[in-house]
Amino acid sequence: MERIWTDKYAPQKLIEVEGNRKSKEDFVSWATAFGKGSPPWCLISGPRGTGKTSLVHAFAQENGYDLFEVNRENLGDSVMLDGVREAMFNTATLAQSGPTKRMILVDEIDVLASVKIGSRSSENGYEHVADDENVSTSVLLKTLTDTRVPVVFTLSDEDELYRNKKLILLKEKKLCAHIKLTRVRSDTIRLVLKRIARAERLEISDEVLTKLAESTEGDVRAAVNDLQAIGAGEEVVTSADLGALGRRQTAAGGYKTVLDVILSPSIQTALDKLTSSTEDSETIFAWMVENVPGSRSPSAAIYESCNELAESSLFGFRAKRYRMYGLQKYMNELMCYSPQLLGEHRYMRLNFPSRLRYLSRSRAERARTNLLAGVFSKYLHSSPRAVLNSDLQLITGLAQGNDAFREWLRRKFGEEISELLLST
Amino acid sequence: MSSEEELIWTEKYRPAKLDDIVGNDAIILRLKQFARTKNMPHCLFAGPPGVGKTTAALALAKEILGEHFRANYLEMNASMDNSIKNVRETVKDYARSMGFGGLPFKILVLDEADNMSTEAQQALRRTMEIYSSICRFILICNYSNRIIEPVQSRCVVFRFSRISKQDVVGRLGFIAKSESIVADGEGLDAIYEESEGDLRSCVNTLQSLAVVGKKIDKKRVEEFVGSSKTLSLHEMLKSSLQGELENSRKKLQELLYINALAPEEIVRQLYREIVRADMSDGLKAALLDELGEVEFRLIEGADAEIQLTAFLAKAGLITKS
Repeated sequence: MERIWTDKYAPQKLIEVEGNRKSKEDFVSWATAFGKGSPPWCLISGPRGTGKTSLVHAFAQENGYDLFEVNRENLGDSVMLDGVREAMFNTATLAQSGPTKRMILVDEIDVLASVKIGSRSSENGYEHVADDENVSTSVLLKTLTDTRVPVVFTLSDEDELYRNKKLILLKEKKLCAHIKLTRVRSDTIRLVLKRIARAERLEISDEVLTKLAESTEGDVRAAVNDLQAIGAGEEVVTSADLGALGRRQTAAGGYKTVLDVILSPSIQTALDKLTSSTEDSETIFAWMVENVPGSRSPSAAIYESCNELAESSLFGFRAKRYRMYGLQKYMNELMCYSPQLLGEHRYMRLNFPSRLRYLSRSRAERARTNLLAGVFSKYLHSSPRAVLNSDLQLITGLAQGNDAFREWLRRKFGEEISELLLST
Repeated sequence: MSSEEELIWTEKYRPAKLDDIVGNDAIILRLKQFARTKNMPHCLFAGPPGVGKTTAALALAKEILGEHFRANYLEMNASMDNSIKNVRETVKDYARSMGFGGLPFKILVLDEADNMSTEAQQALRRTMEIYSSICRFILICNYSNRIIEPVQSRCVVFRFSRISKQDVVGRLGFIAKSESIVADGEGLDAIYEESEGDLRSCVNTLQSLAVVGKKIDKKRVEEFVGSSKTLSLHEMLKSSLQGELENSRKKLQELLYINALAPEEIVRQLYREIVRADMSDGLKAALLDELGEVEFRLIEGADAEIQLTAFLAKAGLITKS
């Protein structure tokens, strides 16, 4: 079986870890200063595939560290904690095997902190549980406070640091240094891909490399995986092969797509994201409507952006209504153009669309008013919408203060309707 | 429904005969011709709300069908799901039950016809053609430009216009007198102004006022209109004028999704709110200019939330400059 390329081409030296030059330097200074007053722990945080683990591995390998790893595989093993203790304290073995240095790596501490011990049977191997059921992470952390060797943690969801109380020790500055990695630039990713392609004797155009590099938004690992997926066993890769790549599944499809569209550097890249998304356009539009006006951009920019989005909806409506589906492309173009107008303040915390939230919350109430509007619109020879907008208010008012009117309602429309009317 | 007294005034005082309808005299005259000859083409009634479109359709049908009205007259709403399927099935049923009452045709009123998709309208066009000997249609809509040409060309188009202030106030005065309510001219004028000549809405306002007291004057009308106006709408505009877009957006979402207010209704209330606001004429004009554009785009089919959000953002910008 062919090795996985991310493994096969994993950096062996620090210099081969791409991107984040300053952070790498910070890490080296922290590790070499260990035992000289610097914090014994170091937390490396950054989005997936930016090289957190690779950085530690490459550093350890290059500098002759013996690396003890705590990860999803051995977490919860009773021997794991013993192994940690041994790695922390047992200097006897060190003396025998020469001048070996040790380092402990706790990989993906955010994931570990939310894993329930002993339940690895679920689909992705882990089950997320409430804090209080999860003992082992805190035990681990507490044990590690007495360490005599450097301890490195990696973490990809920085919010977890503030959400999960078990991780509170990691926020103590004297105990734990903090190094952040950022997304790797797409031209850097392109270089990595090019190097691998050359090593695999794979003929691949710059255009395809660029597309691959851009499609993963700074995730080197994902880009290398994609390259292997379309390139393994091939001699030539063309842009047609890109179509074979499936989209990475994420928790909320609408969320992901909208973030992509909002953050895309150009209309074209945004359009690519939009058209490759499997979400329906109404959901995506709802996410856009909710979040574009919430940007911290100047109000003039927000206005322009909302206006474009409104234009976009107009084309969507026309396309559907007049069955002129050729107009759909204008809807998409303008939807992608809209966030471009927000300028630098495009990065934002996305909110779930209010229209979807309210729709599900007020379903019962809407069912009630729709039923009433239906009944009274027949009687008043009017549309349910008109009844909803004006008559229902009057009728409710009349019913509340007037016995005779309530009696009349009951006779005319039945007990049920008159009660429904008063049940607000 | 029995012949017992109606308690909702829009029904109680709905004119039963074409002769009693106020406004749109030329149209009523033509309809009376139809009634006299007991024959009518397919009709399209277009015009703003509260000017008598449905009333005219009802009265016309009653006069043509006479005692057979009940069995041969049907109202349907085109904005309901499956409306075109229902229309077709109903008309087919008609075809089977022909001859009932010895009448030459039945009358089907299709309200909110401008809400039908193009596809549904195409289907309707065929139905109108095939069954025209059995069933005559009266299509009712606010915007005739949303009705496809082939359907329009099969109908006689009647464009209803706003009822004059004199006629509306006269009618309100008649109702007030019949209900032994003391209403002065200024009060009735105020009711007319608030509803932009929508007679139906005027009658609703009059009845709402009568619930509280039998004496109606200008002050009471203004108080009522002020209080019945959705408070959060007032706050929405206020926040937006102060440049607090987030706040004002939240209010908008509540109005749209919790209070289920129709976007047209929000625009309508915004209009009144701006016209009556204490601000310079220049500012008013700029806001109305923008609001007019919003209303137009909504009619064209733009997404209500984002279109109104754009307005709220713009209103803040206008005030600042």
